[in-house]
Amino acid sequence: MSLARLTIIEALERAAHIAPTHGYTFCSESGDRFFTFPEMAANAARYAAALKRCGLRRGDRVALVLPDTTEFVHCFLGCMHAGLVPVPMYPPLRAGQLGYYLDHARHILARAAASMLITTSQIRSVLGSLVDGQLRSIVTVASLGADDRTCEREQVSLSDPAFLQFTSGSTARPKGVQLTYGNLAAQSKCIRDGIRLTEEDTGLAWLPLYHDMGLIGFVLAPLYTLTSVVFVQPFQFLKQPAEWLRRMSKHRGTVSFSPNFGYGLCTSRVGTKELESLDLSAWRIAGCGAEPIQRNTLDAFAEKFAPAGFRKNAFVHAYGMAENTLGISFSPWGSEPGYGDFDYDALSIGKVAKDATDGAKSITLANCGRAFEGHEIAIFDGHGNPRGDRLAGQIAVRGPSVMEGYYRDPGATAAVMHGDWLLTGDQGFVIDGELFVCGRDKELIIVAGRNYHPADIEWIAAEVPRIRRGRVIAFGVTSVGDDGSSSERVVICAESKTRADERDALADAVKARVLDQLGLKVSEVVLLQRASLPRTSSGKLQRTKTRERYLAGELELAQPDESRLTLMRHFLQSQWGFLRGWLRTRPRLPSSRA
Amino acid sequence: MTTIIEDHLFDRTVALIARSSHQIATAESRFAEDLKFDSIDLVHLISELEQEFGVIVTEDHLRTLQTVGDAVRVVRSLTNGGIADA
Repeated sequence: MSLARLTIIEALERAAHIAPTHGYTFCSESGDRFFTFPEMAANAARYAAALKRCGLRRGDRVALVLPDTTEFVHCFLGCMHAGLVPVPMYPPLRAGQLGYYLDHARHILARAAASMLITTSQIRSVLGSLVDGQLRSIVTVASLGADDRTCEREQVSLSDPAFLQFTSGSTARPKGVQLTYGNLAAQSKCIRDGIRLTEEDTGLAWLPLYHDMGLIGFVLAPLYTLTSVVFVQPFQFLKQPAEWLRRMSKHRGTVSFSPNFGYGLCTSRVGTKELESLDLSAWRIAGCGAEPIQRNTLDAFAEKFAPAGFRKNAFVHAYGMAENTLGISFSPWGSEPGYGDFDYDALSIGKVAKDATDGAKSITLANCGRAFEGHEIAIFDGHGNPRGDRLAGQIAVRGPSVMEGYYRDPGATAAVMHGDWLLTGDQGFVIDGELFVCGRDKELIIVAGRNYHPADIEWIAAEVPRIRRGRVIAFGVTSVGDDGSSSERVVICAESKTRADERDALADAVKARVLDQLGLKVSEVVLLQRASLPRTSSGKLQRTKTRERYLAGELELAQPDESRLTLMRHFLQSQWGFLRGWLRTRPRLPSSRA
Repeated sequence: MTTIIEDHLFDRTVALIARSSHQIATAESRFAEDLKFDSIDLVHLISELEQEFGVIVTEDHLRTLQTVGDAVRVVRSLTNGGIADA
């Protein structure tokens, strides 16, 4: 039977049958645990039986807020075994104001119409307030009572919903990507073919499993290819990025993926002594995706870890999105992935992507390769007409990995489906069938692989006293350096009638509020005169226009007392400068003030 | 009000914060609001404390940290062989 015809649990049972010694290793600071595929299948059946005893019925949505990868995988597969629809959610990362998190969680649970939420006892204590109406209960993994009793696998078909992946909608309107078992099987085949994933490989992931790259790429696809996988807890990676590489070395890992920032963290944080103990020579696929790919970051990583046996041709550029299950294209495996230098000014919508010439400002873009077999990539202009080679426009994809739609949200679904084409919202162009991504959904802000919706940032900023709701705009600005690298800055523009001497404090309060609630650093808060943000005829604020005016320097600033400010800055900078030299710090990203 | 705590663990924590972010912290300094730490900054600090004091701070502990004093308390309870409140 073709792999693309198997549901997840059928694939797991097949793996248990023909690769009984392979399986998943879950690493933690208290020790590693290895589960063979037969043990994984047995656990799925045990968890399924426990879930059914909770009174859940086929098709019910079950939210999972589980930071521990072992618990997450057992519960996730248990849900599928029982014919339930799991809904992975990210856990609250830290203390402080939980308001934003709870608000977001409440909206997701309502949109998913989840019957139950499974979490840990610690997180349960902060989520207790979420039980109402539809959500019948919040239970801990321990109290699920999974024991030796098992149950039969619920028969599902490829057209049945497999799980909901919540993504990129604003807090007030989260969008649940509904993926079918057919989507997952089709995407697993794409991954298998795209990087030649086999049972000889060893996958290794530190990625959070509530994110598509970790969940689909490393939990689900390897069940089809019989590939053993080692999971490092994301928190362990964040504490010590070297742990990723230590594990790659120890387990002779051959395949691993990370957003760009993961490679950057390793380059800056792994010491020379550590480097000497690493052997990365088995690593044949080092995927990079989920945020813009920076040539400088990958080149620096390759150079630093070459002595440990890392090969540059292991890099694979990946482009994808949750609405297409995971991947849309990979650069060809086994050869060093390509880049193109393009004329920055010519590269706006409707213009031809010209190769950069000497002296012109250029931007380096990663070649993300071709569409997967059975899938097509097209570039559309603003009227939905296809465009030719080198003409930038909106990237669209069609094929069996494209979602059915957003769960119970026909309006949001209609906005992104153009016939059977999924409009990605990203901008790009194609040269000889190979995709270059040059911009994103104009409003979405992506930092460290995570998507932020401007509406959420604006909402939080407006909670600061003297910032009024409906008078705030947030957007991202991409700056291109002299070397062709790009970086994202977050800018907030707000109308306020604050006194001049209070503006710095107000701007700082806005930055602090967003940082606390979203963990996002805002580069600049621009305070404006009243009624100076551009509005539509109906009075709605316009993000795109505000961003354009900001970039053109045309916003009417609430005039600060310049002379005093400049003096203050000089004073502060000289103090910081003194401290920097005195403390002999290592190189680090500047703080949000810089 | 600022509490003055004279102990090695606290001094080292403040020194690590100063080194990475050029800020002088007190026990009451809140990571997000006062020190402008994002999650990665906080995790990095925790990692340095772990290495220096030979303890393992879990993700559950992380969720309880709001101030520098909280971080010092968690690490101290772990170095004493006790179990920090998660």
